[in-house]
Amino acid sequence: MFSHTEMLYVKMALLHIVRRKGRAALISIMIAISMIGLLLMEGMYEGMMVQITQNSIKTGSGTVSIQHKMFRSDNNIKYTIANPYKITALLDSKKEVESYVMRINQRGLIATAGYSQGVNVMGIDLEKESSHAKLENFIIKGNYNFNKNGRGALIGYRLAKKLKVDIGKKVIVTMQDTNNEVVSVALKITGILKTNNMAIDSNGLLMDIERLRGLNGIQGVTEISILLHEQNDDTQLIHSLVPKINDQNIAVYSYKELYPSLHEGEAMMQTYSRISSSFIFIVATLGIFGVVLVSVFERVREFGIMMAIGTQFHDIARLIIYESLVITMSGYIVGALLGGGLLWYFKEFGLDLSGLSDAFAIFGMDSSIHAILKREYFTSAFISVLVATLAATIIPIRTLKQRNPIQSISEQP
Amino acid sequence: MILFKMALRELLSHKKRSIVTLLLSAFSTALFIFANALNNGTHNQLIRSSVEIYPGYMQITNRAFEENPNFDNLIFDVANVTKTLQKIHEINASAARFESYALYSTNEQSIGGMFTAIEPEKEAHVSRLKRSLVEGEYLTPSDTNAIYLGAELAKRLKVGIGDTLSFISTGADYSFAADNLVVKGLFKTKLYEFDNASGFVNKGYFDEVMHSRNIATHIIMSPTDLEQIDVVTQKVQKALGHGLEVKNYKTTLEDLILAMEIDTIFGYITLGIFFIVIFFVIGIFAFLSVYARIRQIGVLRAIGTTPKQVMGMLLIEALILGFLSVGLGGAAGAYASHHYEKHPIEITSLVDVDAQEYAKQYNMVAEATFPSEFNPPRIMLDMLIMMLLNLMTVLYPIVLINRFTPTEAIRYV
Amino acid sequence: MNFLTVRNVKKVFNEGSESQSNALMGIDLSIGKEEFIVISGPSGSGKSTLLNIIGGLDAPSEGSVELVGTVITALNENDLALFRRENIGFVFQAYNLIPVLTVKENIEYVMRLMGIPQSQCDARVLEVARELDIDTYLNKFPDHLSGGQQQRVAVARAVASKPKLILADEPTANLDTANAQKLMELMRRLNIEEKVTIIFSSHDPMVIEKARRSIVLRDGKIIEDTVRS
Ligand SMILES: Nc1ncnc2c1ncn2[C@@H]1O[C@H](COP(=O)(O)OP(=O)(O)OP(=O)(O)O)[C@@H](O)[C@H]1O
Ligand SMILES: [Mg+2]
Repeated sequence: MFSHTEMLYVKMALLHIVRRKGRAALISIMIAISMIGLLLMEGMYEGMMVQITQNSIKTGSGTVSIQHKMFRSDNNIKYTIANPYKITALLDSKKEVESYVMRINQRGLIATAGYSQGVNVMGIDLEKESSHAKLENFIIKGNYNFNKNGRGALIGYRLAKKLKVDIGKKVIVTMQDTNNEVVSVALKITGILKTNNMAIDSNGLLMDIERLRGLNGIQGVTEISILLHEQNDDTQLIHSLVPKINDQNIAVYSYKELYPSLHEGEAMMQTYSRISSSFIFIVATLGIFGVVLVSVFERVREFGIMMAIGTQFHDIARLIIYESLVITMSGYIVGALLGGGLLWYFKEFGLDLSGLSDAFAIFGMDSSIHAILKREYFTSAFISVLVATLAATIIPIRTLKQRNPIQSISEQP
Repeated sequence: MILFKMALRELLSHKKRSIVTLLLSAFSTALFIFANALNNGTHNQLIRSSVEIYPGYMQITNRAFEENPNFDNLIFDVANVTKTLQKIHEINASAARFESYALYSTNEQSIGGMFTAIEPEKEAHVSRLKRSLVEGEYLTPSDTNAIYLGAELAKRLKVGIGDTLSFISTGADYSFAADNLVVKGLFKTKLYEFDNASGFVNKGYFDEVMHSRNIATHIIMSPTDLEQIDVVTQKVQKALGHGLEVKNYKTTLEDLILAMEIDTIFGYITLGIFFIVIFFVIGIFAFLSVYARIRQIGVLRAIGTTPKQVMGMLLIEALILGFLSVGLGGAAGAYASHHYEKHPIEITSLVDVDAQEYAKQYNMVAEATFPSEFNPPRIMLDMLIMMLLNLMTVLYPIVLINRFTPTEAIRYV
Repeated sequence: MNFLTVRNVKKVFNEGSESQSNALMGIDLSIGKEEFIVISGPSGSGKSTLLNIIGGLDAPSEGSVELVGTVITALNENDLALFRRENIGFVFQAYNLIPVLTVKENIEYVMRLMGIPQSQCDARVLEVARELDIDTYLNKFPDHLSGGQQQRVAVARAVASKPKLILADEPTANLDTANAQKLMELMRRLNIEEKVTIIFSSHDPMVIEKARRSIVLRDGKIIEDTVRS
């Protein structure tokens, strides 16, 4: 606990602050506002990055993806995982694995009456996808089914817009089978998806995996997409899987390899916010420094009198530091409360930007951004404020010492 | 005049404080100008390349084509439209295209893709298609069974220059069309998806096979003066009548332009947080400098200086600092904008690969260079904004000083 | 018509609160042109308060002040500033001068505000500076001068614009005896030569006896008003 004299200094510090409340308020407000700004920036940007990543991971290749090693560079259906059940048996025993699905991905041509374009055909199992990526949540129109006869298909909303098709309309999908013969099938649109994963939204068609097999003659699957409980367990899982699969032709990828841009984006965001915060840190230190300097110099005589009656210099230094800390920390607390509150609100309820949703979708984002709230935002801000305050008091205290406060008593005011 | 002198001397007698204020404000000005210039320059470049790679600045289609892009809704008298366009001198060049889809086949592979007829020589004036050649040769108006193929598509089809492939497509009269084509040239743009799915043939040849003489899906135009594009668009629309629809890139690339705007907004948010802190610090310094002079200002008031004149003196101080720092920062920002317009910032190879990956994933143009835009009126406007911000920093001190009566100010301790 | 009339001026600070103080409790005064008056009295008797109210720096709680035909207690802040500029010169106990202006610029400051041409300012500054024996420091800054010199510059500034009234609140309090005497002699000379009315306050008996009329305050009231011959 604080000693009696210590309490006295804290009290004196408080009284001085009250006497000069204007400048104390300016510093506190500056720290509070910049903290709110930085917290929001960090939390929202990180929220956006996570959203972009999650959209791609969930509806795309998963946190970890198992494919034929040639499939990534050459999307040819001759590169399949011929015996996926050997691998899924392994996955069933891994506790890191939350869920997995098997898919067939193939490029084809989609056509309506007078218009056609390239398409990513995905063969999926509706039920399994539902407990995996919760695909039904992405349906914006129609239903999450392939009709009873299995001749239904889900397509991306951008593709639907381009093709001018709606629920119940027919599309013709053309592709190659394993014998290099061209095969076609007519499918009825049962649902339209908006996943904010561009590969699906503007180019994807999802159909029943069994029906697709019947069409192109594939025996196995082209991909096993795996979601983990903890995203960062990816490398660990890959290391333990590869030797057990023990197949030269099978590759196990992390999302970091499959979507390097996402990973890069995350790293870029981090660097970006680190540079921004250190810049703000330096500027804010300057501001605190100015205030401490002035409030020390206008009290040189007062400090001189304190020393004349027996106060030691290090106690005066402590007084100055307490005073500065009270000002900056009150700014920190206000900033942390307001900024944290706002972030919490945006985390729970999201920031709704639906007016801009189409443009956001280009970046792979939803129309509502959900912030991330991490304890380390607050601890690192706390340390920054603390360091800035101490740094800002060094020069004023040193100059005060050189000025020799006792001598200044005799000087003219 | 005497007030001006006092303001100037006040600044000179606190050199360190003035210099810090000046540098902070100059730095903000330079940063603001350059950030804006870079933002505009990069976005303009991105829009320009997105437009010029293939879509073109202005296009004509049948009015019903957008709703129903089928062969009933085409431009059926290209010659007549061309004649009309030649009379409009705001139109620099025009070229007709016939866009359709085909299934390209080699012995090994069949892949669906865009199959488009162009007028080779005219096309070179409305898009960068000709300039995107990387191997072989571009098309000529006398070419018959020759195809100008996207490099990525060629890779997937495993064909090179001189190799043969066949196509199957639907003619303008809905008849079935098929022929063999020899790969004459390969092109590579900055748009991965485009290179991955497009092939071009000479329209003279195409019209024979597809029965599309004097018929086109699009006519692409480039205006003489880009600034006037909206006016020209209206003018062409008027000249052609209601049956045809004229649009420019602002409509056809709406999503991209919106995405750029969002990018701009995020840039402003970051800059905004920077500026709040910087101008808080400048404001705190202004506040301290006024604070130290309360007594002096009391004397000034007592001997007959009006509150307005005191305010004027403080404003002059802010103006002097503002002019110097905005001038300095403006010059630095303008220089940087000018320099990086001529020598765009190039991102190192490592990031470059990732940027391309990113662009590929989001179907955006991959740019490795980031030019700024040197736009003097815009720079002037930025400087004006910074000047106003500078002036705003003395608002609080002025409010503060006006709360004191002369006696209170003189007695102030 | 009197030069200066103070009618029933009362001043209450912090009215209604616990720290309420009745600084002036009904002052009536009548002062003629070219008088040389000292206000004395114990500390806290209301000297400064009275001078401030006469000079329009502070408003009375009750009563009025009329100076050269203008009821200054009825003027607004801006008009008061202009009125002071034209009619009143001030000398304070300390912190008088503007540190960023030279001695010359300090002296001519009010004239410059009044828009008097530079040549006339220069002439007048020189005239006053010679009179007050400070003409050799004209281009120095105030912080290079001694206390007595600074106070003479303050007087020079107060008198330079030819005000009708100079108010000086304890002008000698920070000076030693010799300097105090010298300042008083100068003020007396200005009173005669420049025909300016001077009212000042002081504790110092040696200073008080230089005045022709002496007003003594106690507890916010005038208890004595004598004219010496
Ligand atoms: N701004 C103020 N607020 C509150 N009380 C005040 C204020 N100014 C003066 N007083 C009170 O009014 C009374 C008269 O003060 P004033 O300064 O006029 O005295 P004085 O005669 O000039 O004293 P001194 O000789 O010490 O200068 C005192 O009791 C003082 O406490
Ligand atoms: Mg007094």
